[in-house]
Amino acid sequence: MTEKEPSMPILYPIEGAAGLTGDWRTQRPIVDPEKCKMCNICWQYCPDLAITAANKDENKVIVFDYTYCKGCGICASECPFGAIHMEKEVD
Amino acid sequence: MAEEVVMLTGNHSVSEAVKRVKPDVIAAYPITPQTAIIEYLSRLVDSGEIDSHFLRVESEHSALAAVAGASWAGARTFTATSSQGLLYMGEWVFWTGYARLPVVMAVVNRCLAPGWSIWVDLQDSMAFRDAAWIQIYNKNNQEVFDTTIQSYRIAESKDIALPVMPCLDGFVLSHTSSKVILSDPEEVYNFVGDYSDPIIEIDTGKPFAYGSIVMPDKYNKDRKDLMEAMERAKAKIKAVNKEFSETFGRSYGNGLVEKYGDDDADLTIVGIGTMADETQQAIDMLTSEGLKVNSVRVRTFRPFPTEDIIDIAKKNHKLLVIDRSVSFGHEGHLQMEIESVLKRNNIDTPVIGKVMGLGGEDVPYTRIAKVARENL
Repeated sequence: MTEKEPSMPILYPIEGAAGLTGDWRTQRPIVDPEKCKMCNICWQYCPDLAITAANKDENKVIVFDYTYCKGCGICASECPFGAIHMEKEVD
Repeated sequence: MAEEVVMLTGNHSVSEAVKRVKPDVIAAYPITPQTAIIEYLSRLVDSGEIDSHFLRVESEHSALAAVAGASWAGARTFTATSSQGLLYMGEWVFWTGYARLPVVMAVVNRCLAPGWSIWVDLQDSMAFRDAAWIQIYNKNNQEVFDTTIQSYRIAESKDIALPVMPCLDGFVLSHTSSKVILSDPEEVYNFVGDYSDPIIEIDTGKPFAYGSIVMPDKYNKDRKDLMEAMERAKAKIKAVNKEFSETFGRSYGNGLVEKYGDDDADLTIVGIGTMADETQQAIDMLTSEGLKVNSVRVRTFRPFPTEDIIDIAKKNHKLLVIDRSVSFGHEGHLQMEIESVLKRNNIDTPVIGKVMGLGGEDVPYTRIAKVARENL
């Protein structure tokens, strides 16, 4: 009897499994580098891993990945310093 | 340590088999008449006789969830339950089957409430016949011991990958002592083999999501594969029964059904569980009266032994099907399946159905013989 592997509902993580979700965005988050304290609270809250964390040692603030950011606004809502605001997408 | 011959209850026959198979994880919640299986195993874990992790959980739902989780992690697992406990597990019974986890769970058959009763009928496990578990019903404590061992070989085969439910009648087997040959532990372990190449194994180096949303095409692909695995399981159960016989000298029909008496009878009595064993005494009695009768015990209810039923129906003139469970609004479960097989294959052998022994009602061979005479 030949061994046959069972067919199972298994998903392996891949970048952008749901497609280019940045297309869904109606508004985009903008960071104010002057106000950002590099605390990375927004990075912890982002449900889509669409924020590159700030790096205090290199004095780099957070960066948004607009390819996947859906524009949900959680980051702007959670930022304790008002360093993120949402702007309407123009096109 | 060699082979031992002992007087043992059905419950402890399960435990002695599990002891030899050495599961990594055991979890269970007490319920009559199953409790003695788990009490015995927890004592073995406590005394260090077996090296399993014993998880004390707060419900049957958690018990099966725990062993399913352990099975995902690549562990060999065991649990046991009965009746209301099995119902409470319900969600996880289906999950475990559809997830293709090779869990082995002894079900000590007990009827469902209300009215409250702790005695045998098969309503509890029959309610889960569509949960994608292999169900093997046993006739005596020796078979209980042997089937529990065989269950691991069947479940853990990569080309099967299905959970197995060895079923034993509450009290009639679970709490009644009879002679059991306990095979040499090392020989049993060698027969089952270790579970070092698991069907599925959580790997933190290569994480995956299991059971998240799938589109209908993938869902249907998995279900079709499950159906095919159940079909393959028939050959697997037969092969394991044969290999077991060659190793230990004990076998149960062809693994799927066990026939008794001469082929070509005026009446064939088809049954399941201990009532089918009792039927063999009725056959002896009726044969001595000069009547042409024989019997068939359905050992494996899922997968259903379709080919054997076709063969039996073609060779005999009439079938009397005795069920110990019933689908209200229709008929007995065994009768239902047999009639469907015959109809689908254009076999016009008449089928008479009787539901007997519900709620632990005693069904002696004399009563089975009486029903047979009435229908000859």
